[in-house]
Amino acid sequence: MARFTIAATPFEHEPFEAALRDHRAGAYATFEGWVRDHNDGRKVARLDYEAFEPLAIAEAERILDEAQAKFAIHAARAVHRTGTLQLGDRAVWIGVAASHRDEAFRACRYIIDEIKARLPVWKKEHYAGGDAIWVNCQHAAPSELSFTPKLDESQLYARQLRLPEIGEAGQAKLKDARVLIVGMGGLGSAAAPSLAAAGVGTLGLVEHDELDASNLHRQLLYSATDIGKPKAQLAAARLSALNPFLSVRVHSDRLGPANCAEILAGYDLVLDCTDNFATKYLLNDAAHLLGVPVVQASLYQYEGQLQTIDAASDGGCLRCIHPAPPPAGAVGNCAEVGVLGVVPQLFGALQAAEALKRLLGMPGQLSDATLLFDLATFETQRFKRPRRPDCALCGEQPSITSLTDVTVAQAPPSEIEVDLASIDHATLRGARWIDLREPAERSGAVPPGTLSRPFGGFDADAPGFEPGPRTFLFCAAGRRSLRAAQKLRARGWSDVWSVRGGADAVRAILTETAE
Amino acid sequence: MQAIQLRYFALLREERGLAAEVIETTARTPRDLYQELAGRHGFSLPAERVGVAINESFAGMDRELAADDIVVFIPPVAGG
Repeated sequence: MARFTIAATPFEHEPFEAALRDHRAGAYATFEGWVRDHNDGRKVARLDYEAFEPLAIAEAERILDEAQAKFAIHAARAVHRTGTLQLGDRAVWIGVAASHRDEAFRACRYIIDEIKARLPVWKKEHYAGGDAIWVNCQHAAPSELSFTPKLDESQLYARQLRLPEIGEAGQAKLKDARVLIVGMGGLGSAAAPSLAAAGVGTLGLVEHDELDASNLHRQLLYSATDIGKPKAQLAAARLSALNPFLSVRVHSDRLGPANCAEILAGYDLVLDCTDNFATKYLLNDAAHLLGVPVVQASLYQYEGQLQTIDAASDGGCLRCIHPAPPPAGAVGNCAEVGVLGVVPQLFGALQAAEALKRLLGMPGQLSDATLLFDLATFETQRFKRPRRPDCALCGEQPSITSLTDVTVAQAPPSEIEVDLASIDHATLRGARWIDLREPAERSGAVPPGTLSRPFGGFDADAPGFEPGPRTFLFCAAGRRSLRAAQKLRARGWSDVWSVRGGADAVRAILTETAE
Repeated sequence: MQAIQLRYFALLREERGLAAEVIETTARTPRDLYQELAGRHGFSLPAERVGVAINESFAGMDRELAADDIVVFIPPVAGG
């Protein structure tokens, strides 16, 4: 029987206790960790634990070896749960047998502390509100940490502490800073270690992808042996190995209009390391609507652009240069047009440099200027970036007042309109129907259960518009329903459709829904 | 007619086939100039999706051009 066990389902402790039975032992100490209903002021509904098992087992065996060497104990066992745990479930069990109680207690305490700090186990907290977040501050600490000599944190920064712009005071500012990195691809995997190594105290990572072989030519944070594993967790482990004094938070959900404010709320600065227009415009808008500065880099083959969007400066935003994203497919991303690996490495490092300058309050930032750098020619250009008075976001009369998905908002009618004649009967019968006509213009029959929400007082927050079953909107001719569907799509709801042809088209299929 | 120094980036540089040139034009604004060039070189992006910088500062597409201005058309990019 191994001394450390990973249990994917609820377990009984008796077999582990039995294995510790020893007539030399006069003391038996145990510790159990249970799932509690709150964390950091939030109500927790349940947890998911995920372990990188080979490493977790090897590390736990090392911890048990250490406990055996440090304390006068006879034997120790430990169990850690993975999978989904409900409130009150046992997450960890530790048992120690020793001749005397002091040593049993101390060894037990040592083992749980080290397991919490060193095992590559990640915890996803599901909150009562329905959302969830990966929490892994201490869990991502690397196995190697146990073998490094005791470190004094300031030793790590000796070379930069000499810089007059940093010193002890600047280093303390970095330690207090919380920086969110959105996208752990080429840019993020270069920016993150630079910030971690410089001593930025808290790093958040937003990334939902797994490591792909095609990432490795430019994402040097990762290893070929980790292909297929979640990048956010690989990155968290690597960054904690680089700087064990770092706190890393992992956000493994895709960033969108719905969760943007909540995620950004915990950070002082955001690095936009994404590779798509939807997130770039979302973060650009968030910089102004939420007031969190965003350091933005965008690449194209051998060249890139770098700028900071900061509502507190008089500089313009992305929309001052490009009011809206290009049509879908008009400008390729790295996957489509290719990129030289050093380009994201360089621009990720430049984003980190800009972030450090901001956190330290150094001059020469890019909050009102844009840097263009072409590695093919090694030419750089720096353009001033004033606000445009007519900018829809940061101009004199802004029309953008909430976060939306720009690519969905501009989805063409062909992707939002539907011909009812082409829909099967079961779908028509199971759908939610919303009539957007004003009371005065309503005539003819509508499907049973149709909700009436006149377009004149359109409110996307009204009951009935919340995401749910497939929803068909209709009006008299199909124009108002198209606009309403676009607005709802822009809020991230994908299964809402505008009926082409309006109420007449609905009437035509009524016999079928009634069957 | 006035001489304008032009620079292109990313997609526009590819579509134009060079990074910089000097042209003589009657165009009065960057928008007119872009449309003239788009017609000649077959640029795929519409004028309203292209950014422009004149003499080291971003500017609007309707600003008046002056002789010897350095005009840089900047397409949107999103790679990362």
